[in-house]
Amino acid sequence: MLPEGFRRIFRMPASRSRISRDVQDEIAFHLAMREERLRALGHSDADARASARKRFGDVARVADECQAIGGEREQTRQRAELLQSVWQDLRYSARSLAKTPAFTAAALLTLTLGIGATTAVFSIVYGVLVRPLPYAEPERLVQLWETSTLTPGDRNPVSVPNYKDWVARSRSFTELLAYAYNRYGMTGEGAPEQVQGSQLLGDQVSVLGVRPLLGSGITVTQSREFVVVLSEGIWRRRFGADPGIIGRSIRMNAQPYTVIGVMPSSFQFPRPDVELWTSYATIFSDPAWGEARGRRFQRVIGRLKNGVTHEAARADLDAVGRQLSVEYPDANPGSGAALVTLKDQLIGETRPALMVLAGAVACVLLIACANVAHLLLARTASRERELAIRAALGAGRGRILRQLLTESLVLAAIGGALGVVLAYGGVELLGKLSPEAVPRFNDVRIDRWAIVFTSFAVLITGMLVGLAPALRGTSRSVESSVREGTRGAGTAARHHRMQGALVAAEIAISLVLLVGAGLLLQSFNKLRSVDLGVEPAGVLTMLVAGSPVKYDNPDKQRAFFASVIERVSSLPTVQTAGLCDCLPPNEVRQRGSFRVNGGSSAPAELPVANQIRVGGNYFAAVSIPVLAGRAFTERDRPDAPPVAIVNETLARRYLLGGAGGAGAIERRVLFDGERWLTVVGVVADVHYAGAAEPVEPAVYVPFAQDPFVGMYMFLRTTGEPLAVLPSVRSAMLALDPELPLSFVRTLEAYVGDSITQARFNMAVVTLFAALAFGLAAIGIYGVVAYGVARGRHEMGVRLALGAQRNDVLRLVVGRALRPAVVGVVVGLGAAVFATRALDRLLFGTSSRDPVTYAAVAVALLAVAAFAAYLPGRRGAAADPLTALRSE
Amino acid sequence: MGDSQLNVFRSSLDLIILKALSWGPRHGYDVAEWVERVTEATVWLEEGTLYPALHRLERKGWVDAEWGVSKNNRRAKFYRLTSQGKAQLKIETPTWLRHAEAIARALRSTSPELA
Repeated sequence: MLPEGFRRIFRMPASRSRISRDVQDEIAFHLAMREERLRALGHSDADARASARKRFGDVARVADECQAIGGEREQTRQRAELLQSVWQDLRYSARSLAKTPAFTAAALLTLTLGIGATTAVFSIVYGVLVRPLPYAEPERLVQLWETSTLTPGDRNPVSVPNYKDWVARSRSFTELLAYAYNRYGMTGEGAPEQVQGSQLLGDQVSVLGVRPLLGSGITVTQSREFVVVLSEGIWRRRFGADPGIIGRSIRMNAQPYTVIGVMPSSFQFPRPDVELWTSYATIFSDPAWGEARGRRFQRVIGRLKNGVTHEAARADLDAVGRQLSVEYPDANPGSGAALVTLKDQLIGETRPALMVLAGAVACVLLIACANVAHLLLARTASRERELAIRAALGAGRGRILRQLLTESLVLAAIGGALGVVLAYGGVELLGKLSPEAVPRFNDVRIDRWAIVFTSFAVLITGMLVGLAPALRGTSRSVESSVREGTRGAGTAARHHRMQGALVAAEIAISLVLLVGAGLLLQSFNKLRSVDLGVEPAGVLTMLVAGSPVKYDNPDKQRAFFASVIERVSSLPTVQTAGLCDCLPPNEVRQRGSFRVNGGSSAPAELPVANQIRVGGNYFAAVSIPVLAGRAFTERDRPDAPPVAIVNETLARRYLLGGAGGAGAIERRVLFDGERWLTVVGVVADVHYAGAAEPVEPAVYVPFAQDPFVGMYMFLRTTGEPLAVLPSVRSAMLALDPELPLSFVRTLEAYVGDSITQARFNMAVVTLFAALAFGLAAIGIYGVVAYGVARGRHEMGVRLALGAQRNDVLRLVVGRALRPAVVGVVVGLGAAVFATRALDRLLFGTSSRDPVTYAAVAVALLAVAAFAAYLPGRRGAAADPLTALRSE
Repeated sequence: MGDSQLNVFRSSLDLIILKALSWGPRHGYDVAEWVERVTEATVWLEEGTLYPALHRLERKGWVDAEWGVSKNNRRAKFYRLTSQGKAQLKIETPTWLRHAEAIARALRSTSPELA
């Protein structure tokens, strides 16, 4: 009787034909025995045979049935055996990994970093670029802009009358929705609070397809009523999630509004910071906003009818635009439309940055793979004997290959599991530190797609890191391994080739990343050192938004802000106070054309300038030097001659101001096409449209001659700017108990925000480059140290034969540097191509900057040389006798 | 034979085969001979029925099979109870005996009385 498992040990195949033969033999034996017995009882041969068959029954049917059962049995057995061998491999892998904790820890750390970073970046890229917007059929939603020959850009907002004509005359949309942003001072229950709102003209619910939590959304029919829809957030925070809120009246901007609905928190339109939506009641109450065709302030989205393409919709709107140009030639010269999907509009300029991020993290993962492959190669080499013995005991090549791959897959799987945890932490951390660096960040999460992605990454990583060592481990003939021991000379050469290739690849990839990081770092530094034109340190900024109802005429507005300035100026820690309706370095309210006395008057040729109203001692408060003439004073009253101050760029470019702009004084400019202003001063340039953008011409007008109800206030303080806030707050409340102070921040914080995206790009790519560089350096060191250890015998021979230590050292370092040089050359070539992706992210820096390339190449070679020198010196210093004897 | 009859027949045949092997390994022909002798050839109409039953028992893991040499020096397939098969025999035997005796008593009964 054969013992259990005998067939497996002796690799006995149980094929279909063998099963069939066994069955035939068994039946034949039975028949033969029966015949024998019948003959013994006196039957004739023929009779015995016939009778035995008759007693047995249908031989063919029985044989078939037995074969079928046998086949099933064999299948079950094979499946169980496979399962058992996989389990065996897993247990064996776990044991052998546990036996070498240092190796395992190093490999796991590397894989965790690589896979974790990749998973985090995947979930960001997926959440921002791929995940559909949380609206019904989001692919049909488009953002619409008006084009016009009046303005150079093709993304203009739309005026109310033009929008109404779009709605009435276009045929491509099931629904159009116009919206504008507005801030609301909430008073009544709770502390006065300023919140961001949006005014909607159209049907809020049907355009976007998100059902309200309570009540209904804003509709066209209510566009002239004071109604408001709350977000879930403010409903919970300010109204205690009151289920009876519908129909209640709340006070906003000193005006009662009726609550008609609550939207769920998933509805974040048009921006995540918008907390409530109102009708167009305030807009329609002022003909200047509600009826002027030239007043372009609304943004518009539309839901395309089923099957209508972007091209068809644009042609449709262009046709409407042509009619409008004919009907209203003054307001709508060359009117047309531009369409962009709502998602692309939201993603904006982030796509190139995210693609760079994805490329960078892929590089990190590749380097991590190369490093772990190094480690596994070294380990395979030191296990050659073990593998040879297994092969000698009858393990096939495929079986050993499978076992080695199982080991690398186990490593990758554990690394992947830890990586997901790391990625989760990373995304959380990013959300805390800098959520504004990525649009749609609330759509970013580690979900099942991230897990699917990570599983693929684990599979591929496991294969990548395991394949080379596994092929190496199984390629040697059994007897040569056993005979040569662990240090075969032929093996060493092949081993070196493979490791050399890995080192070259690692260096090439790190070089690309380091060049990218270097370029972004330079660009960031240039951006940061841009002279913004203001001195932000020590300045506190806030929005003072008076109620448009309470201060409904210029006189009230002048009086109100005069007392605001008077009160804050009397505070002991406030040095100077100023007002401005723009906020450097990133917010400009309006641009308009102007005409210089004696210059051209054709509308198409009129230059465009930022139009900025300032009050108090604005220039002194934010330290803008007056280059010529004077700053605004008390004398620039409403009844005094209208005056303006221009910036240096305008003075130089249009008023022949010369250096310092003195020549511009007393020149006259036509502003808004209706007011002639006399230039009384020239101030230094200030960036209002972002540090990366060139300074535009700017015209400043005194607040008293052009008042407004909401202004930013700038306070230059002695000491910590935020410390002055409580006294400012109480001074304001004493002036007007319903006055909310909002957007209270230091000017330095705003300046910091303006470079957030650049800082984010730079920081993440630098982080990845540092990671890649560290991994590559460790990899090089490990490979060289290992090579030196293996080559000690050769060094011993050379030293014994009279070679100088320095020569030997040079030989070792030179040999190690060869793949590094190859890597640098390949990497430089790759970097020239890869950094093209950075072009759109760089400011004042060329992606071909030779200094960066050279510096990175030299630095990498130096590190490689140092990594080779350390173990090389140790090898060369060894006593040749010891080295020889150790063989 | 109907389905239920077949099932009863199959499981009773399985039990008899297990019993046949309870004295040690046997080849199929010996099993057949023993079964015919003790049941007076009432269990099956054809001897061939034995073999699919044996193979099914092998698949279930109740018996093991290996090739060996018979008493008259022929190559024969020997079946042997596994520990699982032994356990099965031990569990099933008393159950079957109880059932069979109950059925026999019922069928032999001559009294219509309820108590």
